[in-house]
Amino acid sequence: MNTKYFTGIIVGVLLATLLFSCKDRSVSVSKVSAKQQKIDEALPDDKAIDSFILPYRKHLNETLDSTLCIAAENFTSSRIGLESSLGNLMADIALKQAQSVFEKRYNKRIDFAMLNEGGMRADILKGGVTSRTAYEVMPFENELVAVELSKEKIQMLVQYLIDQKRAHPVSNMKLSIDKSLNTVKDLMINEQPFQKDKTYLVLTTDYLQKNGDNMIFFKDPLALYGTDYKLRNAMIDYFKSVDTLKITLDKRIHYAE
Amino acid sequence: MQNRRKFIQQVAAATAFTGLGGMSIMSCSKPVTKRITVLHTNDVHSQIDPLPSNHYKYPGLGGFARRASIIEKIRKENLNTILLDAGDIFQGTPYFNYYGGEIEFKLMSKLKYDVATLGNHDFDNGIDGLFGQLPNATFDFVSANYDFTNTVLDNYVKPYKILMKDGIKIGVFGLGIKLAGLVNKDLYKETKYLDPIEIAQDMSKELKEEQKCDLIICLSHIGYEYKAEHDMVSDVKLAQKTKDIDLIIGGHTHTLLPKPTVLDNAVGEKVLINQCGKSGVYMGQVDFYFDALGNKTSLGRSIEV
Repeated sequence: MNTKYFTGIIVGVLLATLLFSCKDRSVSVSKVSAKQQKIDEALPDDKAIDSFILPYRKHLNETLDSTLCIAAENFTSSRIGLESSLGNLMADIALKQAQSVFEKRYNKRIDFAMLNEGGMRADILKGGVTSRTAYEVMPFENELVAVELSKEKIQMLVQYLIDQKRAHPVSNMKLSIDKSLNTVKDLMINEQPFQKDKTYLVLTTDYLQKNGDNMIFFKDPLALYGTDYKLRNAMIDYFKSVDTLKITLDKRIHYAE
Repeated sequence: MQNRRKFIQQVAAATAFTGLGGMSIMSCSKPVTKRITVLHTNDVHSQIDPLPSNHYKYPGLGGFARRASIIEKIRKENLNTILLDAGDIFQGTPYFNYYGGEIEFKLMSKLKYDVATLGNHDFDNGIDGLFGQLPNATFDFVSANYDFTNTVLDNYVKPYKILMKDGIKIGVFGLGIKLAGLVNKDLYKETKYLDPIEIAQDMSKELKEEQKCDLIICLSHIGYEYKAEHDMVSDVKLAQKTKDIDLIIGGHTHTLLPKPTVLDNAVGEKVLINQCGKSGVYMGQVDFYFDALGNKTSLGRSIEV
């Protein structure tokens, strides 16, 4: 037998034995240290990663930033009495866009819409309105849903609006409040006086339906109807369908004179 | 200082022997310290680019290109580095709405992520939407408490994954949050949620006793702690009610811990919990130093966090 070959086997066996015995020895943690690495501008960009992202970023920016319609004025959530230019626009868009989907799917009409003041995360500024605008105003994935509510729940909803004294967006309802008594002076829904012998279909978002902003009257409705239509997509579709956004301030919620 | 010097010498020795065809014979007879670096993110929420400079909480932070460069630097310092994510990879920027998660998975693959778990938002395009993006991910998904038996993800998401680094056996298992109430059932379909603590107890037993792992990491998307809702399971409860887990990497609550929390587990041993906010604004780094003498009881472990 070749000596070199034989030595090779010996070394091999020796190594195998050592490795095997090593394997049996357990290792254990003797020390742990940690740090939180801040990802800021002090770190250079990895060029290869950045150039991979570039075409996506470019396409996205072009898509998001193409003008869909023009805002004639600034739309903000700043309160003017108990309404706001942006709130009215949002609630009107939600109702208009959801209504057609809803009629097709359920063969019913929604009576009115109610959203929350805090849900509008940015203003719509005068000038070109883009998809990015919709993402800024509505970054959440909230879906439009309709709930069938009893007269008691509608009364709770109205009392909530009165007590909150905030400009929660509504559409297709008119509420006149007696400020001194903190009660309803007059309530019109779908251009009809409030009727106590019927139920109402109210459009809102899945977030609010599940008790967001403490809107407990949306919980456990008589019926719940999904639309699979995100509020943001409703906005984008609406922006595409019009040339100009115009402010509507019609004192839909106000204190009686 | 003394210890640090000694440690550097040991690392130098270990590195020298690794050069001999990877067979460090002397590690049997001489004390050699090995180091495993664990890097982790959570709740990146499709934050591909840095956050805008006018962001209310984390202006200008985050971004994959920057994260890639620091990961590369850390890997150069220590080859034995693993990269993990604790879920909610999806949802938060139009990148997700437009590309459905493709860019997130492709980038994580380029950054050489090893393992990720699933967050509730990873179901936002439905279990089918998630399944459709899996070909873009070269890394593995783990979840031990989601039973995917009657779904498309069955066999694609494993309870745990074992990684070997420098002869150290690392077991990584995943835990997810209860989906009912957070995600529409139409999206998660027949996914069944199992009790995280019971499952974690099974997992640590499997990984420690059966698989003989040297390091056990839980990738958790159950949330750090719920002070108002006492009944809700959380990483803090998980840490205290289990054993043999070395590190819980958390997510869901977007908690930015200034440093990892150190708690006593069910048998009085130390366990770490770490979580790094959201959107990739910070990346966690936990370094485990292993003593090859196998002298755990006399040495204990020093935690310098």
